[in-house]
Amino acid sequence: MMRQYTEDELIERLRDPAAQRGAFAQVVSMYSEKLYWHIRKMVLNHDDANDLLQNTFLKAWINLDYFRGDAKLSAWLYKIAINECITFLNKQRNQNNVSIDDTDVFLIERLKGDDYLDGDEAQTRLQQAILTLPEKQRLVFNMKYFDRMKYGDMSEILGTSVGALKASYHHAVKKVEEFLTRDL
Amino acid sequence: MKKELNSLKEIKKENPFRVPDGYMEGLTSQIMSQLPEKSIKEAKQVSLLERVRPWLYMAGMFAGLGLFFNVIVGTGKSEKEYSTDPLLVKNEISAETLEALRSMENEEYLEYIEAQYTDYLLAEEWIDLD
Repeated sequence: MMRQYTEDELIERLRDPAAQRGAFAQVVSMYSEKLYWHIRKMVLNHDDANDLLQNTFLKAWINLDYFRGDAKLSAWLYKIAINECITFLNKQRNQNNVSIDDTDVFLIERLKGDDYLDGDEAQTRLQQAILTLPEKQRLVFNMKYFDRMKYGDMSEILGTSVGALKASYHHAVKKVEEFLTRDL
Repeated sequence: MKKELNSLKEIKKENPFRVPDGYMEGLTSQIMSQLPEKSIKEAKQVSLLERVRPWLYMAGMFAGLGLFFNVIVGTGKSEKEYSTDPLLVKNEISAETLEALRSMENEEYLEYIEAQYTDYLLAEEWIDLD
């Protein structure tokens, strides 16, 4: 069985050209599932999420020499993944002629037709409610509500203060509950 | 249908999405297989010639510039250099020669003034005799 290294040991090994690939495989193994679900909740579709996850790790691999190690490895990977999601969603909005301020209707349509959506009606409605949130609030909501991420970690990834993140999550919850209590 | 849900708490915190069977199991190997190989850069051995090459170029450049100024502008040569180098042709007037010329000119001038003055005095005497 492969030895599991600590984050510091992994970073050290990632800098060693001879050990780099093996260490990166461990990074992929540690974070691929978490990142997949994070991306999936943003773009909804499995195939898109799979492509974006692949791109995330490809970019991390290519730019490994630029990772200075002063931030957490997970925070760095999340940042790359979020940038990939935002770029992808912006392209989709352009293709569907959707303004950045409008609700991502195309995503709601996509959600309805998703073969890999298993939840009950309430969960589907929750996903629809989340899609009405602005992009940044959606990120904050997903990270806090589903991933139970600490505000400090979210702050490092999103580059926003803890106070602003708390306020953003509070607003997001309010909007989601408003949507859920609306007449169907 | 009216207000079926009142808050988030009433919804089970479950992930409604699912993935194709076996997707997560093969995820790491699938991602790793798509990554390009990185070439390991070996430390390049630098020879002494390669290390001093920039300095040689610079020295060559200064030597070229020096030669250029020497040919176009020219430099003063000492008497010794002219006497020892048979190929050098002296084409300037030495300081001693100039000094000699100047003193010769002065002597001629004084002789001329003296002659003029003598003529004047003789002329005066002729007038007195008359």
